Amino acid sequence: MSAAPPSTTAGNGGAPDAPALLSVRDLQTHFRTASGTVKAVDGVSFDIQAGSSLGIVGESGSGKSVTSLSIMRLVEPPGFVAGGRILFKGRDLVSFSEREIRDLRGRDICLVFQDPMAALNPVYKVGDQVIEALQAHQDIGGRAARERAIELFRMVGIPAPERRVDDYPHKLSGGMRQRVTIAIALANEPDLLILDEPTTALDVTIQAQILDLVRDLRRRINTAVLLITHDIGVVKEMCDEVVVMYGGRVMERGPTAQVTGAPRHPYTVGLLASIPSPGMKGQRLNAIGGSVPSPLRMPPGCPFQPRCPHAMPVCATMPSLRRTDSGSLAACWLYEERA
Amino acid sequence: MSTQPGSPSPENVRREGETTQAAAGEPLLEIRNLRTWFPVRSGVLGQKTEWLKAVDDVSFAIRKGETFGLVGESGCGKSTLGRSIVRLEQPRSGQVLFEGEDVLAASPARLKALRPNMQVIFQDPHGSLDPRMTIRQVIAEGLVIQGEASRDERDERVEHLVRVVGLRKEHLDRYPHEFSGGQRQRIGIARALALRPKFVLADEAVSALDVSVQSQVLNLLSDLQEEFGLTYLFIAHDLAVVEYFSDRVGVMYLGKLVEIASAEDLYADPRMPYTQALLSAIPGGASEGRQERIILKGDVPSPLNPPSGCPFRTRCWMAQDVCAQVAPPLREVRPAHWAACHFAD
Repeated sequence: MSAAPPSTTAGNGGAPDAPALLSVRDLQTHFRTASGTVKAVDGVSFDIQAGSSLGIVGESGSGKSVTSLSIMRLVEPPGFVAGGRILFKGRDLVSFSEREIRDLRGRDICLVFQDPMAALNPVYKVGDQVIEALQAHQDIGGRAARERAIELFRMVGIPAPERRVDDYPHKLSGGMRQRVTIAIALANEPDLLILDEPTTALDVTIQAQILDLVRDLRRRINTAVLLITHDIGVVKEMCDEVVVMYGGRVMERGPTAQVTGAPRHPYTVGLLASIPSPGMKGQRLNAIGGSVPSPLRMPPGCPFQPRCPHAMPVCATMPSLRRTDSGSLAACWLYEERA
Repeated sequence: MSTQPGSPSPENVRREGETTQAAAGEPLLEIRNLRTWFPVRSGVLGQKTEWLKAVDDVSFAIRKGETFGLVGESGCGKSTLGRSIVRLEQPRSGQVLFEGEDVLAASPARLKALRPNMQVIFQDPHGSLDPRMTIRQVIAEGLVIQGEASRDERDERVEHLVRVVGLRKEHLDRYPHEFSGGQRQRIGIARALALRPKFVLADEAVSALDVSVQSQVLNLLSDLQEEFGLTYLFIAHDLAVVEYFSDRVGVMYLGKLVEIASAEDLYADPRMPYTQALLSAIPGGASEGRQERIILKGDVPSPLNPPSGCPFRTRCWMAQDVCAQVAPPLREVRPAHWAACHFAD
């Protein structure tokens, strides 16, 4: 857990004291559809410091995955980054050429997806896929690359790595496949590892193994982690800071302990109250009413307003992120005067 | 497995049902030595048949009005067990006694008469609703098949049900694609309730839903249980949801039921090492005062070739020689707390 919240989080998109590793500023990612423009990501800002970990938590349609794809410049038409900046070590990735971004991917920033089977090529041996990642960015010979692949497999906890490198993906279990994709992601020692629902497809005991591995690797190689998940429990375990997204917007953000221990935005409060916890047996869950509005019919202003118990007329205008008494920042008119 | 020394004899296991019967409430369902095996062809010409023992000698009872939760990781057999109980799978042997009558031995006519008592809510609210049917037709389908009500009675019941599950009458003439995932799950619930079942199998019924919608559906299932006196078999992989929602919980591993206790006892004091590891893996659990994380080594062995003796011994940190030789029976290690482990005391 990081100590006092860095002043980088002050204000909405304020200039950080120390340059962050990754600085996302007012990101807009839109999708043009036959029925209109969908603002999947609508003005998202956050920072990740080198070596730290940030979680983005949200339900389906919150824009959390589109945010990670935007950072990697992997949004495909009809989607496009419509505005904002993505500053990585001070350089704006939005303005990168296709070639520049390809050099950066897999070397400086790596992405691990939910489904390892989709990320691995079924007709190549898993070891060769690690070697390919190594040789794409490093001048390294075949034998040395194979040695390095075995070493990476050992590092991510794959048993008998000398033999496993010659296996095809289908021979491995889901947990082992996810270890392979993590080995590929770490092959070039990236500064930032983006994990998009890395354990959602895995059983809980295997999830525990993978999260344990990521924690251990962070200690050893000091990679910053951006973790995208729907599971706030995973964020509690893994992340120094958290961004809570809903309807393409940041609802609340701050140190994980504050946001999960003393939530201030009504959506965060509702989300946490929806999760059954050991003390709640026999009581009704405090469900949030209604459901997520269609992205084509987002209300004006705060997207949570139609389901919010505190909704006011002013909510038809989107509030900016304001400091709350817990130390987090919340985009809610309830905190506007106190700011 | 029953040929192995120390494996549970039917008498030994059946006590679970009897004890519960004496202790609290009659059983609505008694499952005795249930085995559901699937043939898997192997060998060069597919001439060899191996058996995938998805459910292997499982015995337990579900009491009237309770929610029995069933947990375990993928491939452990929990869904096959649920589907075998309502006869969506054909078990190889064993008994499923519904109010004392063996569902597995029932004639086709008798089974049709029993069916309305046992209904299912599935995980996938998209795949389980016919896209060409209106919501009215979806909910009324079972009533039509059973032919037990006139058209007017059917309409009346369908309109009542749609309100009960929190939807509106105007929704009845729309099609499934017009609804959100949470609404579709409400429709699936209304369909399950149309025939006034006593027993409902909820197989991952809330797993595909976002948490904010999941909590609404859990509240609805609680309300309906109270209103209609339902008994649930609640299968889910989310351990926190099962703890919250269930009165008693069973844990499965490689086709075996390895522990049964009240939700409180099981989560506070799991006796079987697998259950301990499973519960310790709940993400964020440490901050809620759960026990320290136990990281299991390796993966679940293939169910085609399960370990001898205790199925968990290959990953168990407490395993001794005896675990490879003798399958531990499910036995009462604490009052009303059953565990299949030689060292559960």
